Amino acid sequence: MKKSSLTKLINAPYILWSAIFIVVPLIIVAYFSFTDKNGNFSLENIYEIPDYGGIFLRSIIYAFVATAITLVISYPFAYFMTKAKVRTQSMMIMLVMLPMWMNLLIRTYSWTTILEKTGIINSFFGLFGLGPYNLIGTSGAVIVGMVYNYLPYMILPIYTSMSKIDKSLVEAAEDLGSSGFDKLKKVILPLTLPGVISGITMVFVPSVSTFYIADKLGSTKTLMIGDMIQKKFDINVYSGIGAALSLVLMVLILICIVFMNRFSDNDDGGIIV
Amino acid sequence: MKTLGKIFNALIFIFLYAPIAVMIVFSFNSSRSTYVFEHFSLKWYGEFLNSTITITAMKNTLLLAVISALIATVFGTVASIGIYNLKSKTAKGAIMGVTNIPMMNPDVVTGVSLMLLFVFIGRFLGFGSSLSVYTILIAHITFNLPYVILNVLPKLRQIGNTYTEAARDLGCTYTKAFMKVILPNIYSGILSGFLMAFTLSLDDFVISYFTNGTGFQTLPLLIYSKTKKSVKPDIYALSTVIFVAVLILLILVNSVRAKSEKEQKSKKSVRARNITLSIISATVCVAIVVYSAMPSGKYGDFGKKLESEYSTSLAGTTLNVFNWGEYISDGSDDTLNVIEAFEQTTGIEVNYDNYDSNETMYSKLKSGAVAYDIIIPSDYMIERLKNENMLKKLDFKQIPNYKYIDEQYKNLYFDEKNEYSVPYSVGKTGLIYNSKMVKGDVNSWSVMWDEKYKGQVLTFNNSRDAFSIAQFMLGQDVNSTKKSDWKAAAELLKKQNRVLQARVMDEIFTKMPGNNAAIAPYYAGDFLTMYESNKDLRFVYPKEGVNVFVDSVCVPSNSKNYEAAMMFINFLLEPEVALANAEYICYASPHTAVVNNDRYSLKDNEILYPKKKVKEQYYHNIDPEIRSYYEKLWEEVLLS
Repeated sequence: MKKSSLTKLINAPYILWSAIFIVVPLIIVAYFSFTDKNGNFSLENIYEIPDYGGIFLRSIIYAFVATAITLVISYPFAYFMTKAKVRTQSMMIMLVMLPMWMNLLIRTYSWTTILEKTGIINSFFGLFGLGPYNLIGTSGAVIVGMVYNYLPYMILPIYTSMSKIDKSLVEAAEDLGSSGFDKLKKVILPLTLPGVISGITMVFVPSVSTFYIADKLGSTKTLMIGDMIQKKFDINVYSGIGAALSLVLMVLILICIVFMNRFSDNDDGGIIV
Repeated sequence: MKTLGKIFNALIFIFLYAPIAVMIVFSFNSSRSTYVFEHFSLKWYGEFLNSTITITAMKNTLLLAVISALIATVFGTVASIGIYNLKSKTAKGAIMGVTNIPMMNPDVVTGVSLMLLFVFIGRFLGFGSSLSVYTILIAHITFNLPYVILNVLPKLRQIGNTYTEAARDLGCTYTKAFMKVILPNIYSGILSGFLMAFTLSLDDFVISYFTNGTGFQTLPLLIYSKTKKSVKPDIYALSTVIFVAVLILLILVNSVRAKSEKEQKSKKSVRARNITLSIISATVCVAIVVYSAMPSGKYGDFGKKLESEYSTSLAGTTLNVFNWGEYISDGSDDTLNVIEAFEQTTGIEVNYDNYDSNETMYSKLKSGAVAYDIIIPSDYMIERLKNENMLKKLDFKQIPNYKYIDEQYKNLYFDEKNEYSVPYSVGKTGLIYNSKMVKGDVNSWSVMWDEKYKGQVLTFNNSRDAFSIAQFMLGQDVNSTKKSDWKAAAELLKKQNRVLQARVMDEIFTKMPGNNAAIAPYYAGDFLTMYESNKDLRFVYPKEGVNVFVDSVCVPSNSKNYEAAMMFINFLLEPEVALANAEYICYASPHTAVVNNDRYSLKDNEILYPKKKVKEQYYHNIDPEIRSYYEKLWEEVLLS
């Protein structure tokens, strides 16, 4: 009896905090989406959403591609990492996290120097009489920026679930005559699925709503929904259309997550360590 | 296979560190280019150490990251225990669902929704400004919490209840059982929670952008506010210092960990606790050391001369200043640190924040999210603020230095009776081109539509300036009230898309000097900065006409320290201060004592102060209907 009231006491502040700072703000967003300037119920913002269909679609496609690329890079990376010595592994993990301590704005800004028409890559190609290629301002540049910035979010959870794999399971599979590919498909892959799923979520969500990257590395043709929402609220703090776009983005992401979670029964997110 | 793996991982690390290498290399550049490396120099390290604005932003960022991560770690750990002990599955599910929201929600939405909440509460309680250092702290704690919980909770599940029960059976109190049994087992979860929270807080831009209030600017916000001028390598130098500090910390932690592993192989829990504590305290220590080791800006003996003229009666009060990024002399390059000099002279503490556009500044002010004593809007925005009663009249008796303002900048349309504003800086738009890439004489905007330069033309990435070019081409009034005019201008802009390389703001500072584009419109003064690193660039005021703007100092109606604001305005007009600012900003000065000063390096500069009359027009405030009409057209242009 005493314990359960203690539990309640411990939980109360957090529940209160979440209610005020997580739930209520979302209700306010919804409120602004469905009201006009004078606070009356209105669907005018919702009717405007289709105008932004193209941007939504683009954002989802970019995010999808970026997530796929990070996954393809991260999986073998994490796999090879687990093969290294334990000390090297923890060093490598730190090196993966380290770029995140440099601000995203700066990291993205540096990419312009690399990708510009007379930038490092084009200068390199220039040595062989190739190029210059148009790298900056393309959708490719935006996707590279996204892959770069969110790569650690994919590597870490996959690495975590991979390093947790009981070696004896792999050995058992070998003893039972599994080929290398079978071992991967039947043992390693299923065991790392939770890591992969949380990696995908952790990359996909910020990618879809990415902000600044498309602005810096792309052109106006690669504008993404995150930038659009920011622009709306920049001109007007009480932007109805901005709120409506946020709401749609939220719902879209929710759908994606629910869809992805169907592949995984892991309920604690499986974040690093 | 093994070698292949090593090569693959090495390549990924190269990818991860390429931009950081670029950043480090260019932090040692002798010129301001983040593009062309001239020769080795430590100049930028000196610059950021001298810039109080950058240093303050860095301190704020660290402070925010440490405090929010610590609070979130303690709070999150307690919450995890609470959640773990919940009996009801539904309650557990609901709490976990809500906990996941800030993680799953895009940052933009989290930021926006929190901002709306704070503005709402602020209004409800009748605060003058609803955003503050506390709102940004709350926002950071809120998005840090789920990461702590999701790291701690699995650890609690792992140890289960049996140990705690055993401890209780053996006579431990609940608290003691927690300290002795639970805590040692969840240390690693707490640690990674803390580190993640710290990292995310340090890296966050979007949420801070929407929730920060008066007088608390973080580094990302500062960098972002420079989008009209340009990111200088001093930011690279600062980042390099942070990078090296963090790298050393990580190596230290790693070796400590390895050492303790050897020594205490048997005592697993003690080890875990030691490592956790050492990492957390090391992080905090490094933050504190970096924080306190940062020198405060340099201050010449200039202020002493003025001390007799400025009273210190307001010493101890605070003045909140909201200005464009890179728009005040900040002590870099041995210039005068204006803010510092003012603080020393008057004893008033200055909170200095930046914005990147008139519109952003307006909307923040309008919503009551922030309150400032000094703002420096452009002409048309002053008209708008004035019309909406958002400005206070200035008391010119307290601004004797107003006498220095050139007559031609008095009685301007937005302040006909000189009541609300004091001109600070003057600029014009114009056309920049690369003489190696563009043949013949350029004197018209029409070159920006020329097929010959396909893929080499840049234009403004803001609606008003971009539209103005089309409007000049069409011979329209840039303040037209006819929708058909705007429509025609939009059509012309759409035709330009074929030849455009990009729409840019500060990117121009790398693109034009780096020969990455041939033609671009920009602000006259900024051309001079670009010309320093590329002598092939040329500037012209196109014959069709250009926009002229005056950025003036004003006091918002919700200012809380009016007297100090008057003092600050007068201080900005001190000839030495105005000179330093004019040199730093590189735009034309409306200050007669600057323009006629022989020490002024830009005196009689033919671009800033053209002898021949330039055909020019001011922007005026446009009524809301037309404004939203052309904003809609602008979106069409962008998306076409």
